[in-house]
Formats: sequence, structure tokens, C-alpha cells
Amino acid sequence: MQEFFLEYFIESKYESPVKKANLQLLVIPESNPQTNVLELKFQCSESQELYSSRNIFGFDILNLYIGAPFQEFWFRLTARVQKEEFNPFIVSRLSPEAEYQLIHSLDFKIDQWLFLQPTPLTRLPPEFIGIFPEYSGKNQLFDYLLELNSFINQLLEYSPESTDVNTPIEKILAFRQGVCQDYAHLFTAVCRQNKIPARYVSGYLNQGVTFVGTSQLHAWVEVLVPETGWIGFDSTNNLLADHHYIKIAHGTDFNDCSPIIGILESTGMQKSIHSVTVTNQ
Amino acid sequence: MEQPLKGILDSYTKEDSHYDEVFKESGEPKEHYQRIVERFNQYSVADFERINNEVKAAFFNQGITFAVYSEDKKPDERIFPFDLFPRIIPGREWSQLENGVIQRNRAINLFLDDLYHKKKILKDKVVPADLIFSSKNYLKEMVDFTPAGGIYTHISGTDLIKHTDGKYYILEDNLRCPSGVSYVLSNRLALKKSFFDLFTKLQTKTIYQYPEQLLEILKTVKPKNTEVPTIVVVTPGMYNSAYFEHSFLAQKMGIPLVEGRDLFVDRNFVYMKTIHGPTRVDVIYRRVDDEFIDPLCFRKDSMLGVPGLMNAYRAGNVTLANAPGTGVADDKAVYHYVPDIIKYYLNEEPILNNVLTYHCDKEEDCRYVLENIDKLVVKPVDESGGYGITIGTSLTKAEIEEVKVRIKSNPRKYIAQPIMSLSVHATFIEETKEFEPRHIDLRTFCLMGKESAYILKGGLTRVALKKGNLIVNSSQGGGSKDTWVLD
Amino acid sequence: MLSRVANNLYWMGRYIERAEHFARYSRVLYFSTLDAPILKTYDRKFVLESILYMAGIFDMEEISEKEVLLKIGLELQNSNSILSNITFARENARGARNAISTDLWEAINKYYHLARNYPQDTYLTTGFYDFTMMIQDQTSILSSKIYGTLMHDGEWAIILIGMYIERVIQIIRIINSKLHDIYKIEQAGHTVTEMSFEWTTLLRCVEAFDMNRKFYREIPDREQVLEFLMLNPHCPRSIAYALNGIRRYEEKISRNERKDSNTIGFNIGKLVEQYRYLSFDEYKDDIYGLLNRTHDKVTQIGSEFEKKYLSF
Repeated sequence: MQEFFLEYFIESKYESPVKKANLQLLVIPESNPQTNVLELKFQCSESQELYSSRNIFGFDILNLYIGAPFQEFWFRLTARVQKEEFNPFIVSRLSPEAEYQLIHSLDFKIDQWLFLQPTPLTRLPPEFIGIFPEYSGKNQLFDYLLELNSFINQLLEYSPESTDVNTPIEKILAFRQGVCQDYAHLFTAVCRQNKIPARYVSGYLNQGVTFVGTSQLHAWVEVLVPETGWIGFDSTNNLLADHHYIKIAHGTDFNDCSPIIGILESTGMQKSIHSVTVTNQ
Repeated sequence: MEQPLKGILDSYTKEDSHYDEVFKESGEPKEHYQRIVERFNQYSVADFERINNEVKAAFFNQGITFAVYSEDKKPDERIFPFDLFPRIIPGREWSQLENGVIQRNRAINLFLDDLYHKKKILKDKVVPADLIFSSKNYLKEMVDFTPAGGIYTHISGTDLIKHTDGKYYILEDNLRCPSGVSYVLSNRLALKKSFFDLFTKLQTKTIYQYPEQLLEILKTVKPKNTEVPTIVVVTPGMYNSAYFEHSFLAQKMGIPLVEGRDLFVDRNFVYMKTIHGPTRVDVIYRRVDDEFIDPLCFRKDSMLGVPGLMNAYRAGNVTLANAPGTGVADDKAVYHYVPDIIKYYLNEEPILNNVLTYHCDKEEDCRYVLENIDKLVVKPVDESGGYGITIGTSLTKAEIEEVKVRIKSNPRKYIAQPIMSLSVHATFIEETKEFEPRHIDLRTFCLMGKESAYILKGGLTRVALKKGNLIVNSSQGGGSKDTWVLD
Repeated sequence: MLSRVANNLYWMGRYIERAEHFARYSRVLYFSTLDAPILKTYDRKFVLESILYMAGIFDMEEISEKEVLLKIGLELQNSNSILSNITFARENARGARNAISTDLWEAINKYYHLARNYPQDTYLTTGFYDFTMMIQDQTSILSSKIYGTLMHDGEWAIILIGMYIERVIQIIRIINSKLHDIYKIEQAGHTVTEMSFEWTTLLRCVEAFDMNRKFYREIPDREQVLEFLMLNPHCPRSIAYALNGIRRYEEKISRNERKDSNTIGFNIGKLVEQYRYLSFDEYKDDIYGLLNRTHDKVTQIGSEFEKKYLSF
């Protein structure tokens, strides 16, 4: 068992008063068989209470409706999380043929359609399909995914300033640069191109180890391996998600996992500061 | 001997190439039109023009208008063109039509429920899964969610045409925000004022319960734990071309007409801002498209929606009519499968036919299509919005050859349909001051609630006012007629 | 009632009232001066300037009579024109279509179309009188529809609050404008009879001449006219009457809310009572001051009312 302390903080300042706002925060760590959320606290600058609702993938979102004008907003989440240590390399060893057949069966495709359907952020441009390893069923799916994980890790150069969340895959592939979201979108896109169900994951990454991309929320990909279940691949670090990865949510792409979405009635600029800290206790 | 007075319909010239709704081949009016033809023939052209102008003025003052914007900044307001000669449907013909429309909408509702839950029809390969999953109207937000009462399409507008064979065919299903019912009700009111004596002679079915029925249907799908639901109509606002209809329906139902900016969501409940503070809203008849209803969930730039509405909806605290995501079932590509969908869920033969469709992946059909491209409409199955459609009569020889090559290279991708000929109906043409044949179709209005269904006994007969034109849409110079269903 | 709809109703009331006052003022001024006893001072420019002043237009040099008539009447680019006011009234009615009766809606819609389609040629040649009288007639029809076809509850009260707030503001503007003219004439030195013509014109500008004659039975003079138009609680065209109206209908909306100091009810009540116990002698040397203070207070009450009930 490992225990982590998490903190997510955001502060926004607005040039002119915001008349009203609806905010949605998707930052609560998920409780799952490997993750035990021991303590969870959140606070914000507004006197109203944050209320929670379930998003379409079943994750808890925090919502806030602010009906009176404001010019500053901050939010802080702190949590204590216990993670079970596990070896992600232990997977079921179905025969490659059986796996391949199962993945290509109609019922499987129908049940997993959400994570098979390319989205604008996860559609592989046809001219780039050829550069990626192909899943042919000759090898095990898990082995293929490991290969793909390191392939993408090698392909892109980590570069914080080069992209934002809306950078299209074409551009990422043209410049071969990106951040964790881009690695995750690309990994997802290649999986979906090969008819393998893949979902985008956002979460906290333990900063105690020197991983890339830890002052922000991290992104990786979960792939459905028949008989085993969803396995997390972090091609940014060429690793498999283990107990250092504390998942918040998954979805079809970044847009389903955005940590904060706001619909504001305002004019003028805003400045925001985010910070994420994860410490191993 | 005294010459009989010339009636205004005497100069009517039949077009034999189309099915005429009013007149037989002999030129005599059909039985169900006899009374009205006799009656109209008593008018002089001047009388008729006067009545026509009175009705138009009344529509104008009632505000049944749409704005036409021009450069000089003064928007011009026009009424929707309306023809005084009603379309008449005999009772027996209607009841078959009514049964057919209800059957179709029951099946579509079951189809939607299946698509958003077990997806059995896809697994059974009745409808191709890719067709559904690739549709932008198939909303992931609706997956595994069951709307109150299990109803998706509370209001649907099925469009029908009558072909040269005298049979009705389904043209399309409108399952999102079908409009036009306010014109049906306004048209009827105008005709009652102008030809009140005809109503005393013909047993015409009333249509006036529609708003009450709609309200009843909306009450049946109220969220759980609501005693007396607060029901509202949501409009994009008064600059929307259907604003008249939105306000008309709200007015007739006696419920508030609200805009997105009147509503807000707090703690997963929807409230409207009133002068004495927030009031909870339970059922929303929304006339705003899916992608605009909630900027937090769909289009972020939507100014028409309510942030958080989908959360409230998915929490079961508010009902939306129609449910989001119904558009997946009125897709052009899905249309072809509706007869199969009816058989699959209801185990019944479809009462109303789709327009005959040739599937090029069947060898026999494909041969027929290749030989008759000049007489057919060829459509790719996976495209929507009219993309890639060819109409045989307007193709050059070279183009026909091109289409053949395309079909041969990928027969699975194409379907073909005969070019349907819409029936014609005598219509008063203001320019010539005469009745002339014009093409018509029929939009029906069907309401579905928890364990109840209602169909408006009549509908919107849309008429293409331009000679020879087959396009009846109001945006393309179409007008409307009242539709009388006889007992 | 939705706040947005209330907002529409309030502004509908204001624009209806505004169009009517403006139309009548322009007509009375334009026609009364044709045979004014003091023709010298009344060159046309003087009259036209006065009408433009009411329309909120101050910087018109070298303007032809036709241009003025067009600008104040049918021009949509001028948001203060009579037609603009009617258009705004109708747009607001459209936004509140569901809160008003079909009768009222159709009347206002018809009114709009009449004004909107009024032929410009006729208007500029022989139609100015007819056009402005039509505005008054249509406004009377609207008033009767407002009284006769709406429930006398919230929606109705909001419309009337809008109308009475606008009435106070318009009466003040009209008195101000006319006092301004009269001052100029007085400076030039004129007889009492000649002056009584001016005071009569002011009365006519707010449709209060007949009432005034009935009440005083004397030739109008300064004291009598200003007292009548400002303080008389029974003349529906007086400031005091309109203030009473605001109070009466505001109470329908605020229900039995406590009138603590600085509530809308408190402020309007204070103003009503001030006017009730005011005598002409007390303010005869400070007419402009009182008018301006009243204008500011009513504007203030209007914006507080909007903020509290009509914002959405």
C-alpha cells in the first residue's frame, strides 16, 4: 500500500466582472479496486456550495452555479489516496487468434463502440496510417500495445510549449512534438484505427518519481485487453500505469475529461493559474 | 336559353401525368370534393380574391409572419402563403394513414430505446452498426439513459406523398422539432370564418384538441416525485423563423414561453427566473436543436441553451421533449431500414410504404438500376444532406455513364429510388387569378406519451406554388393548405 | 411571471407612452404655431428646434422642414423617432406575446403595421396631422385593450408602471421644453394675452387643455398651468397623478413587502407624498430645480425597479 496526498488548485482573475457562470470540475480521484480515497476536501471562493453530478461515463463532477457578479475565482481540492501496488504486466494469455477474433466480433464492436469510434481529436489522418505498427493478430494484443507504447514515445518529442488541447493530430505528427494529451490522443487514434477499444484517461501522477509532466494533470490511455480488462498505457513515459497513476476519469478524448469547463457571461480577458501536487507520504 | 354562369373552377386544366387529388379523369370532381367544388363555383373571381385578401390581412395582423431582411434595414414581413382550397381526405383513407403513422412511430420509439440500451437490432444485423455509430446524431450522452416514461419522440412529424398510383408513401420522418402545427390550426380558423357553411355540410374532424393533447402528453412524462409539473416551451427567441409557432403553442397550452437565458441549473434542477425569484421547471418542450441546448455539454458557443441542462436531465429532474439524440432515427440512411425496424420490433407488416428502394448490393436490383439510371434517384447510403445524390432525368449521357462506373465499383454503397411524383391539387394562383394544379405533400403530427398516443386528424398540406416545382418547403416558395379529414 | 417577460412588458408600456407623447407634442407645436399671435418669434426654425429638442437631437444646423419631419416621424435610423418607438413597443410585445391577450397583441401589431406602412409622400405633404392623430387613436385602443383584456394582476401592473414612469418623464420634458420657449419669448417682451396662447399650447401638448378650462374657468397663466400639470391629483396628465399611478401598481408587484427606507416602495411613496403636500408658492422660484429632481428620482426608481424585478 502506498499513500499519496493530492492537491489541485486553480485561480482565475477576470478583467471585467463575470455576470454569471456555470462551472464544472472533473478533478476528484476515482475510487476503484486499486484506489481507496481516504480523505477528500474541496473549497472555493464562492459562498455557494459545490454540488456533484455524474457525467456520462459515471464519474463525479463538481458543479457550481454563480448567479451574482464576480471577478475572481479559486478552487482547491485536497485528497489522501491509498493505492494498492500491483504489477501491470500480469495479463491473461489468450491465444493471439482468439483475441483477434474476439476483437473483430460484431457483438464486441457494438458493446465497445464508444471507444472504437474516432473523434476529431483521435482520428488518424490516412497519410500517417502507414508509419505505425499494425495489429494483425499474429502477436498478442498486449505485446502489440507495448510496442506501440514505445513507438509513440520515440516518435514524439516532449515539448510543453508546442501544443494546446486543440492541436490537431496532423500538426502533432508533422512537428513530432507534444505533451501528454497529444501522446494519449495519438495512442488512442492508432488503437481505434486498428479496431482496438481505447479510452483517454486523465489523472494525477506521483511526482516523487521524476516523470515528465507532473505539475499538471497527466493523461494516458486505457486499452481493453480481452479477458484481462482495461490496461493503462503511458506513452509519454513509455510505461504502464501502475500505483503511481491516480485516475480521475476516462472518456473518448480530452473533451470528456477536461478538468474545468466554464460557461461564463463576461467580456474581457481572464488569467488562470493551475497547479497540481502529488506527494508520496 | 340562359347560359349557366361560369364557375371559377371551370377553367381548371388537369395534368394527366400526375395524380389529381380533386378531379377524376373525366374532369368531374371526386365524390368527397363535390360539395366544395360546387360551393367554390358559386363565387366570382372577384369574390374569391376578396376572401383571399381578407384572410391574408387577418394573418398579417395576427403576426403569422416571417421577416425578410433586405439591405435598406427595414425588414419586410410576409405571411406564409396560404391557399384557401382545402385538401380533403376521406375517412377510410385517413384511418389507414393514421394507423400507419402510429405504427411507424411506435417502432421508431422502440428502435431508439434499443439503440441507446441493448443494441439488439444491431447485433441481429437488421440495421448496420456502422451506420448508427457514425451518425453525429447518435449521442453518447443518451447511452444507458432512459427518459421519463420511456418516450423519446413525444412529437413527430411524418411526411407523406401520394404517388401516381394513388397510394401514400412515406417521404421522411421528422423526429427532432417538427414544426408547422400552428399553421394547421391557424389555417383551420381562417377557413371556418370564410366558409362556415361548408363545415355545416361536411363532417370535418376537429383539430382543436392538439394543444391540450400535447399538454396532456407532456404531463405523462413528468419527472418522478413531481406532483403538478411546471411545463414550459423553450424557444430560441423571437428572431427564430418558427417563433410564431412557439408562442402560439405556449399560449394555447397556457404555459410559459421561455428562452434559454430565462433558465438556469442549480443543484441539478432547472429553474426559471421570475420577478419573484426562481421557479422550478419540470418538463421542457424545447424547440432548440440538440447541439444548442446545453453549452456545457454540446456546443460551447451556443447562446440559446442552458448550461448544465443535460446534468439535470440525466439526473432525472427534468424531462426534455423530444429527447436528445432522436435525430439518429430520422437520418436519410436509416429511413430505408424503417420497414425492417417495424417488422423487427412489432412483428407486423408496415401499413405505409417507404418509397420503393433498390439496393445495389442485390444483383437483381443492381442490374435494374444500371439499366434505368435515367428514371431513378441514386443515393449513396452513407452520405447525408443530399450529398452525392443524382436525379436521373437531369443527367447527361456522360454523367449517366459516370454514375454507372461509380455504382459498379462499389455496389454496396448505393441505393436507388424511382423519381416520385407528388400528387397535384387545385390551388388558387394569385398571378393568373385561376385555379391550377400544384404539387402537394402532407405532414402529419403524432404525439406519444407514456401509454398514450394521439394523431392530429388532418395535418399540414404543403403546396409548391411554383408551377412544376416539387419542392414544398416554405423556404423554397412553398405554401400550405388546410387539410380536412372527413368522418 | 418571467423576469424577461416582465422586462418586455415594462418597456412595451414605456415605448407606447413615449410614442404617444412625442407624436402629440410634435403635432400640437407644429400646428399651433401656424397662426400664433407672436409670429415674429415663431420663425419655423424655432419650432423645428423645439421638436428636435424633444427627440433628443441638438446638433442639427441648416435643417429643412422635411428632414425634421422625417427624422422625428418615420426614420428607423433615429432610435427616438415615432416609428422607432412603435417598433420597439411591438418587439417587446412580441417577446411577451404569451403574457398578453391576443386582442392586445393584434392591436399592437396592427398599430405597428399602420405606422410602418404609412406612405412617406403622404406623410410629408398632407399626412402629418393624420399620422400623429393615428398614433393617438391607436394608443387609445391599446389603453382600452390593456384595461379590458388583461387580468388586473402582475402583467397588467408592470405595463402600467412602465407607462406611468414614462409619463412623468415625458411631462417633465415637455414642460421643460416649453418653458424654454416661453422664456425666450418673455425676454423679447410680450403681452399677457400673447403669453396665454403659449400656456394654452403647453396644456394642449399634454392633452390637458379641456381639463384645465373646466377646472379653472379662466384664461391660463403661468401659475395656474404649472400648478395644474404638476400638482393636480385628478388630472391624468399631471406629474402628481402619474406618480400616484407608479405607487399604486408598484404595490401590486411588491405585494405586502415592508417599506423600509430605500426600498422602491419607500422612495416612490416619499415622492408621492411630497407632491401631495406641495403648494405652488413653495417652488415657484425653483421650477426647473423641482422638475429636474423629480426626473432624477423617477429615473432612479425606474432603474431600481428594473434591477429588482426585470433583470435576468
